Amino acid sequence: MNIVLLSAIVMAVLAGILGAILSFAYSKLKVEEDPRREQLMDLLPGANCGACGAASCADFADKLIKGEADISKCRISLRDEDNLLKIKELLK
Amino acid sequence: MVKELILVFIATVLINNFVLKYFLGICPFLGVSDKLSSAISMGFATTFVMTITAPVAWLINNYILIKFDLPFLQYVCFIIVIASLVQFVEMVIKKFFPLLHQSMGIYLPLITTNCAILFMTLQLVLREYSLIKSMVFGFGSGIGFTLAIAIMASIREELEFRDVPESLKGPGITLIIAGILALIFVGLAGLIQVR
Repeated sequence: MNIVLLSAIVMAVLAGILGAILSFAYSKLKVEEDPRREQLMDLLPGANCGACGAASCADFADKLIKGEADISKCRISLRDEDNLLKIKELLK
Repeated sequence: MVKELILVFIATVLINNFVLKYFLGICPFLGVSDKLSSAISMGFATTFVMTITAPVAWLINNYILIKFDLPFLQYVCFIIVIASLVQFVEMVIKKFFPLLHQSMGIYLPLITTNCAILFMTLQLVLREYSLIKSMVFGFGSGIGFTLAIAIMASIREELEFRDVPESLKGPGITLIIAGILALIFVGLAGLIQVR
């Protein structure tokens, strides 16, 4: 058989098998994350300054979602009016 | 048979240590070796990937590549296997050890490009190992990697409290230590006779 065709088939089959295994594993091992967390991380300054009392911006975002903290604690976000509104909108 | 397997194991861990003899896998060796705990978990993640990759690579090589006479596909096939395994390991670690996932950071997906693993798969083809032998070889090379990175991390943890000359701080002293470690491991070369 044509060697090009043969290697293409071998690679396709191999990739298909591995892809199937991975997607099965992903469906079993998926970590449930609040989709707001990612968006919130983009809106927060990301300076990890610690002024809010949390260890990092990621930590602060978790607390915000759980309702354990208030966005007014974040001093950097307070300066940016539009950003602040967006964060409040997201947390509603 | 068992004696041979033990010989292969000792030879890969001590004499032909991947990091200190062949200088492979230097990126995580220097990057993740500043804390002993994360160094050891990095070592075990790599060991796991290597142990599984070795038999899978052997099977693919012997039952697909040699059968269809496609030896040039070795590199691509092995890399695909390694990459998917690393993805799998990352999922498991993210699910069950989120803190570990944070501390390993970018070095976890970088196991994919760890040249030690690709070298291991190519070597077991070159050395014409049997299936069981290649499993022992893969496991041994992972343990060797863990050993090297753990030794390095312990030394670097001690080094935090020592007075290092200003010009050598950081990468300089780390590379010098790596060199001295490699010299020490050369001393083990006469331990047993291996191919």
